[in-house]
Amino acid sequence: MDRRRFLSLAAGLATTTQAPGIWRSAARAAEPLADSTILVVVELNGGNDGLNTVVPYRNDTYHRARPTLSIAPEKVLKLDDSLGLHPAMKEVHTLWEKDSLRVVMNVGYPQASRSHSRSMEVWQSGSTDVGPVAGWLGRFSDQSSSSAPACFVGTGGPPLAVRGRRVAPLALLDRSSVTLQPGAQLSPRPEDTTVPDSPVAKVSRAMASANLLNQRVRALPAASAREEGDALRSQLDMVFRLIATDVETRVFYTSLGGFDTHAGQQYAHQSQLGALAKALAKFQNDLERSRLDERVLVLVFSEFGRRLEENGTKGTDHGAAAPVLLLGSAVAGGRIGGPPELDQTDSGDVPFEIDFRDLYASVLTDWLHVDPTPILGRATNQPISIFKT
Amino acid sequence: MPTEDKDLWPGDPNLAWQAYEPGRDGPWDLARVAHLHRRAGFGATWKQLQRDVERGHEEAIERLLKGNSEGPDGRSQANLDEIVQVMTESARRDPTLARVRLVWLFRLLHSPHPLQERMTLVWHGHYATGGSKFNDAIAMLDQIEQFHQRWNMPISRMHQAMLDSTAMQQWLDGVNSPRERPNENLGREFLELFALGEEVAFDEADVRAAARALTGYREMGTTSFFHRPIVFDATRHDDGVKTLLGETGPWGPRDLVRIASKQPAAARCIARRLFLTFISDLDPPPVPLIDALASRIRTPDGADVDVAKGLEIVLRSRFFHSPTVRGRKVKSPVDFVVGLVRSIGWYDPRPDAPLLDHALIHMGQTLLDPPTVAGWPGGEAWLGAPFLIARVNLVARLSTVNSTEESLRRAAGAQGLSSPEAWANSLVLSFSGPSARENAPRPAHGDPLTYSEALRQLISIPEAQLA
Repeated sequence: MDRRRFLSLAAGLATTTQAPGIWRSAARAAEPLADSTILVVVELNGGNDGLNTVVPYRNDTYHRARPTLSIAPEKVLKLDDSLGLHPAMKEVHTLWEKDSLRVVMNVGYPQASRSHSRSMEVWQSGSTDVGPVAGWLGRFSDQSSSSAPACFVGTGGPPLAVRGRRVAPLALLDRSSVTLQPGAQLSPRPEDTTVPDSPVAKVSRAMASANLLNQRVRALPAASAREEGDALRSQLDMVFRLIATDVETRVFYTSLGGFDTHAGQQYAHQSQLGALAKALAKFQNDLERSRLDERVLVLVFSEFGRRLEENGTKGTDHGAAAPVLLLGSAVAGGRIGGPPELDQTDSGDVPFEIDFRDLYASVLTDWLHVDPTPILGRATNQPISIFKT
Repeated sequence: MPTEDKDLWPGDPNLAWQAYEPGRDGPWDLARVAHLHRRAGFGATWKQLQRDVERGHEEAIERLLKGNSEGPDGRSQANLDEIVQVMTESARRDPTLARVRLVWLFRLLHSPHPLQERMTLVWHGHYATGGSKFNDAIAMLDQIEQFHQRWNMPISRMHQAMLDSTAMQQWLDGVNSPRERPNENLGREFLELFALGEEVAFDEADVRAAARALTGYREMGTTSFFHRPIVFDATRHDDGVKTLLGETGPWGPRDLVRIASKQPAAARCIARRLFLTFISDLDPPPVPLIDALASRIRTPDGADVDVAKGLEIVLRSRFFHSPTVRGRKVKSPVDFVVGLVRSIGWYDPRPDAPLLDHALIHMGQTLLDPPTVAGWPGGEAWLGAPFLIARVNLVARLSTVNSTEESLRRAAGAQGLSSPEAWANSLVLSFSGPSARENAPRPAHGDPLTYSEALRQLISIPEAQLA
C-alpha cells in the first residue's frame, strides 16, 4: 500500500469511533513519513554472554577464567588485533567488512542489577527509576503524534519498552495472530468518553490498535519464505514487510530468548548467536534489495552480560556490562570503547564504560531526531557518534 | 519518573486492611459480591451471587475461604477428585505437558473451591517454571500438585517444596550444581523472586552463599527417559561455613529457607503478591499499604509468613471491598476463559476443554510454560493485539458450534433467566469488572437478540477484559 492509500484508510477510520487519536493525527499530519528513519531493536533475552560474543581473544585472563568456554584466537572472526566475533556470527562479520556494523563496547550503567527482571526494566524504561510505567520507545511514541505507535513483533505481550503513557503499542506475531475471525469484534469506547488514564481507556486504546492491525495486515505481502522454527528470522521478516508497506511506525521491537546460559552454554550459545547472525543478515539483505537500508538502524542489546569466570556446570552466571551492536547502511563501521578491562572487574564482571542512556540519547537525537531529555529524564553526558558523516 | 497511579487509598494505610463493615463502608450489594467472586475465584453464577447477597458478607467471604461442598456444575468434591485422579493417572502413564494442562484446566473449570485454584495459579506465576525447557511433564504435574496442596500454608513450606521440586531444580539449573564452582541461577532467583522480592534485601555475596547452600541436588539415576527425579545428596553438598543474610554457619537448603523466611522483606514480598493478585495489576503497589499488610502477616514468632492469614485479611478488608479497586485488574486469559464458563454456568454441555486450552495459548497464557522466570507480567501485557483478538475469536468460534445457542439457553434457564436480554444484563454485572450497564448487548440489524450474539457483544467491550 502506498502512503496516499494508507492516509486515506487512516482518514476513513478516523470518522469511526474505532480509530485511536494517534491515527487521526496521522491522517492529518502534513510531513511525509515515507522517507523517515526507522529504529529496529533486537532484545537478547536472558543476559547474553558479551565476552563470548565480542571476544577479547588476546586476553590471558579471559582464557584462564574460562577453561571450557573460551574461544581460541584462531577461531574468532577478527575485528581487529584485540577483539573478534564468535565464530557462529559469520554473517555479522560480513556486515563488519562492509562497514555496516558499529560495535559499542562495555555498555551498562552504574550499580548494575544482576536481576533479569530489574535490569531488563532498566534497559527497557531507559531509566534506573523504580516502578516505571512506560518504556523509552513508548515515550517516544507519546511525543510523536505524526507517526504510528511503536510496534512489537513477537510472542508474548508488548514489552515495557514500547508501552507509552498515552499510546498503546502495536503488537503482533504474524498475520493470523491479528486477524479477527468472522463474527469476532472488539468494541473500544471512543476516547472522549473515557478518563485518559483509566483502565477502560487503556483497554480501549489497546482494542483500537488491535482493530487497526487487523485492517492493516490484510494489505501485507505474504511472508517471503517459510521461516518457521526460526523465531527471530520470521519476526524480522514481519518487520521488513511492515516497513515495506509503509506502516508509519518508526520504532519496531523484537526479542530473541535463550541467552540465560547457566549450564551447558557452549552449544546453546553458539546456536542462538548463529540464529541471530543469520536473521540480521537476511533482514539487512531484504532492506538493501528494497532500497530501504539507508532508513533503518538495528540496535541489538541484552539486559546484562555474564560473569568472566565460568561456573562448574560449564555455564556462566549473571554479569554486568556487555557490547551493543548497531547495524545498518547508515552507521559508521568500527568500534567504540576499548576491550573489556578484565583485570579490574566489577566483582567478577565486566565494568561499564559507556552508559546505555547516552547511547539511547544519541539514537534519539541523531536518528529519530527528537530531544532525548524528556524521554530519558536526564541530560546526555557523553554523546556517542554512530553514523557516517 | 512519576507514576500515574491515582491514590487508591488516600487515608491511613492501617485502616485499609480493617475488616469491611457494610454500615460504614457501603452496602453489601451485587456489585460487591460479583467483585469478590471475580477476584478471589473465577466469577460465579447469577444464583450464587443472589445467594451471597442475601446471606451477607460474613458468610459469603467465609464460603470462599473454605470452599463449597459442590462445584458450579453440581458435582461433589469427592466426585471431582475421582475424575481428576483418573485423568492424572492417565497423564502419568503417557506424560505430555498438554495432558497435564488439561487435568489442571478441568479442575479450574469445575472445582468447588475456586480460591484454592486461584492460589494454585498464583503460585505457578510466583515460582514460574517453564516446562518446555526440560520437557518433564511428570515433574510439572508434581509441582502443580504441591501448589494445590500447600496453597495457603506458611511460605517456608512452599519454599522448601519448591527447592526440593524436580521441576524447579531442572528449570533453574540447581541440579548437579558442583561444590567447587556452584551455579548461581537457583540461589539468585530464590532470593530475588521467590523469597524477598527486593534487590536491596540481599547482595551479591548472599547470592553466592545461597548458591553454595543449594549444592548437593542430583538426579536420582534414570528412572525413565521422560522423568528424571532429583534427590539431595549430602556428599555432594558444600557444608562449609557461609554468611547468608547476616547469619553465619554451615548452611544448607533448609537453613536458606529458614533464614530467608524470617526477613522483613519476606512478608513484603508476599504482601505485594497478594496486592497484585487481589487488588490491582495496573497500579504499582503503594509502599505504605504493603508495609501495613506485611506487618500483619508475619507468624507470631516472626519466623515465617502466614499466607492463610494474608488471604483472610485481604479478602475481608475495606480496601478490597472499596469501589475504587473495582476493575483495576486486567483479566488474565485464565480469568477470561474460566470466568466465562463459571459465570455462565456453562456445563450442559461445557465448551470443549482442548479448544479452551488452545485459545489460552493464543491469548498469551500457556499453562506450565510462563514466558520468563518472573512469570507472566500481567496487567497491560495482557492487552497485546493478538491476545485481545484471540479472546474474541474464541467466542466467535464457540458461537459457530451448533449446540451453543441451546446450551446457553439452558444455562440461562438454570439461573432463572428466561430471555437473552435478561441473561445479558446479569452477565454485564457479574463478568465485567467496572460497571458496563450502558453497554448491555442489544439486537443487531433488527434481528431478535440471540444468546450467542449477546455473548459476542458482551465480551467485545473493554469492561469485560477487566476484573
